[in-house]
Amino acid sequence: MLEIKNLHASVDGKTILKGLDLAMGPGEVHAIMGPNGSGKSTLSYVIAGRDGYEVTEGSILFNGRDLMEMEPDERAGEGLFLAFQYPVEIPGVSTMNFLKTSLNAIRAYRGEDELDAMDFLKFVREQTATLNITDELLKRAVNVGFSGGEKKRNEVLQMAVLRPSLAVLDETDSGLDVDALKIVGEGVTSLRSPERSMLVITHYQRLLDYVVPDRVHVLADGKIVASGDAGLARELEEKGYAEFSKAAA
Amino acid sequence: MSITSASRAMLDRYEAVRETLPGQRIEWLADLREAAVQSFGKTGLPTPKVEEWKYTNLRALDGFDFSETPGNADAAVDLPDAVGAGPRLVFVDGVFRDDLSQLRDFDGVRFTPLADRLESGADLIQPRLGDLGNDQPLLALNGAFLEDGYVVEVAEKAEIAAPLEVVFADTGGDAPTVRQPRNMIIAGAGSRVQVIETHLGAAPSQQFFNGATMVTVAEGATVEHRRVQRQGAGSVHVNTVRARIDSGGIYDSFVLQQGAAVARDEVQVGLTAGESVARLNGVYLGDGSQVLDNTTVVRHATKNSISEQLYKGALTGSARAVFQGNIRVEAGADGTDGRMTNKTLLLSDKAEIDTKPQLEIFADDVKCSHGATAGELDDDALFYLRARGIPEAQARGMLVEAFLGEVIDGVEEEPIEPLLRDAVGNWLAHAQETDEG
Ligand SMILES: Nc1ncnc2c1ncn2[C@@H]1O[C@H](COP(=O)(O)OP(=O)(O)OP(=O)(O)O)[C@@H](O)[C@H]1O
Ligand SMILES: [Mg+2]
Repeated sequence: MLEIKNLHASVDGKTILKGLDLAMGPGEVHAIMGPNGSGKSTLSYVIAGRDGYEVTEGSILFNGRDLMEMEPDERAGEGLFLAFQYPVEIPGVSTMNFLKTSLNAIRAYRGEDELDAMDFLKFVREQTATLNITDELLKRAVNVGFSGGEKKRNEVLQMAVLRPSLAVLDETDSGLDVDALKIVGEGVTSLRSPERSMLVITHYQRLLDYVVPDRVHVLADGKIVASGDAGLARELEEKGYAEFSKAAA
Repeated sequence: MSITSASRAMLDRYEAVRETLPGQRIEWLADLREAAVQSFGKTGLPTPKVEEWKYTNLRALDGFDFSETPGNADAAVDLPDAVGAGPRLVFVDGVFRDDLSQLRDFDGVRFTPLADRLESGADLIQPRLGDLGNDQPLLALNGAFLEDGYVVEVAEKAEIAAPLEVVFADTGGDAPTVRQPRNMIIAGAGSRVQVIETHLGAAPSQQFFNGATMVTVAEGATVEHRRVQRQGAGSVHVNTVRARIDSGGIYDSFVLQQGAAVARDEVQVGLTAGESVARLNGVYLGDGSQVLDNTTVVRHATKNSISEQLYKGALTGSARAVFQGNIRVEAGADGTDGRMTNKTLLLSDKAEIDTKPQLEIFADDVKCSHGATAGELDDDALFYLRARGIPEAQARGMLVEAFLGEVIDGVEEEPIEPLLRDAVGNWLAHAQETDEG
């Protein structure tokens, strides 16, 4: 469902991804781990279609279609979702309105009718209950004044509402306390399904204890330098990246 | 000093029409006009050499041919729906239209055209008409041609539930037109009233609107003054409001500036007795080569008075906006709290804002602040919305609406709120079409 071949990408003229290959099947969960600055967020932005991230070589196919040909909103319409490492604050737009507008935009893209206000409310309430998100938070402007943990839970809420077929989670476990980690971990796990693939970017084993990955990849200096099963993540946490970084050099 | 050709044309016109001006046989009125025209003649219309008019140039008026004065006393006009459920006075091409107005009697308020009151209401009207003064050229010009206008007179303690609406509509004939209404809002002690002015122009023809309004807010009274400026694209619009606020009184002003080629809304507030409050807010939406100017002058001349100002706008094309805010705190006006903020979204490379906040403080123990920002839409926010499936145009629209929402929230649940939100939505749709085209 996701097929990345020999991906080279640069930002502001600086090459960050240097020949990255990755293939994921439907319903699979892959984890990407790697040192700071290795290009993990860059990969997530390239997949989501952020301006300024230039693909200089290689290709990304999503369900057989060339992702590079699509606008960011079209990618979302096609079922792609990125949980941001640093969720953005949007003053003046309530979280509830934001959720509703995005869900309806995606439904419109797919030729589906808008949800009416009552159905939408009911649907959102079902999702917020498990994520321990209050109505008060939904009324507030998107991410404005949210704590780090609230921002991350809000990302998972959006994923729960938008029901993507591929979710890229960029350090959704960072900055969470133990309780919040549990909520996020269980929230993400509950969204796991045979129709939904997940690419989980993380530095820690702890999220992977909840969402056990089918494959784990090590990204160093813009390339995948090692891949393995769930055991690789535990090994990395013990030993660090040193030997893999050497391999990349 | 030489005066501009439009100024000369105004003076010539005065000579030509003065005997036919309404109420000219009332002596004090004729005197008032004469004094005003004398004042105006000394300076003529302001040019950018005058500090207060540095950023807004009225030279477009020099291209207007004012020699004709088309009479259009019963022109047909498409009026917008009433905003609220209150009475409505309608002026079309400067002429009061009984047939289009809804004059309903409300307990506690007299709401009439000025012309109706010149004789019968002279006791009330005469001193207040003069209150506006001739110290500014445009006020003097307005005084010289003093025609009709509206008068709102609210009895003590009366709380007027429905807004009082006034529509100034221009049908836009072939020749340039000049409209110079003079209005009065007089709120008795402890009373409460909302006045909504709508300025409309149908065609891109040349209209010069130069209005003046005197607002007196007695002790403990509240006046909410809303102005919706949507004059025709070829117009020059200047509207000057002077408000004097007594102890415990509140003057709450909101202006939407959207129409005209060159427009200036100027509010001058005197907080002259204890704990009075001025709230001045505005939204401006500019495109093409419009110039939209909001100028405020707030004078704190009493202890513990409060002024709050928030003006926000969005500009596209090569539109330019001006914000000039002056807060003056007189000696002895201790405990003053004066705040002013101006924020502009520049949606195109050629759009521009000239913002000039000024604080002049001669008292101790005051809290005064001003802030101004100008910038483009936040790319990160735009990407975030798009990554959630929201198409670019819609995402941009959401961000502009959210930006302006901060001001519009100030009139939340008022009759004009939906009108303002629609105005922003329509303006955006139009701006995006023009950008693509
Ligand atoms: N606009 C930019 N201009 C130049 N370099 C950039 C730009 N954006 C990112 N980079 C660089 O690209 C490299 C990869 O950044 P990226 O954010 O993808 O790392 P990461 O793997 O997500 O790191 P972390 O684990 O800290 O989140 C870093 O060296 C970063 O400084
Ligand atoms: Mg990162």
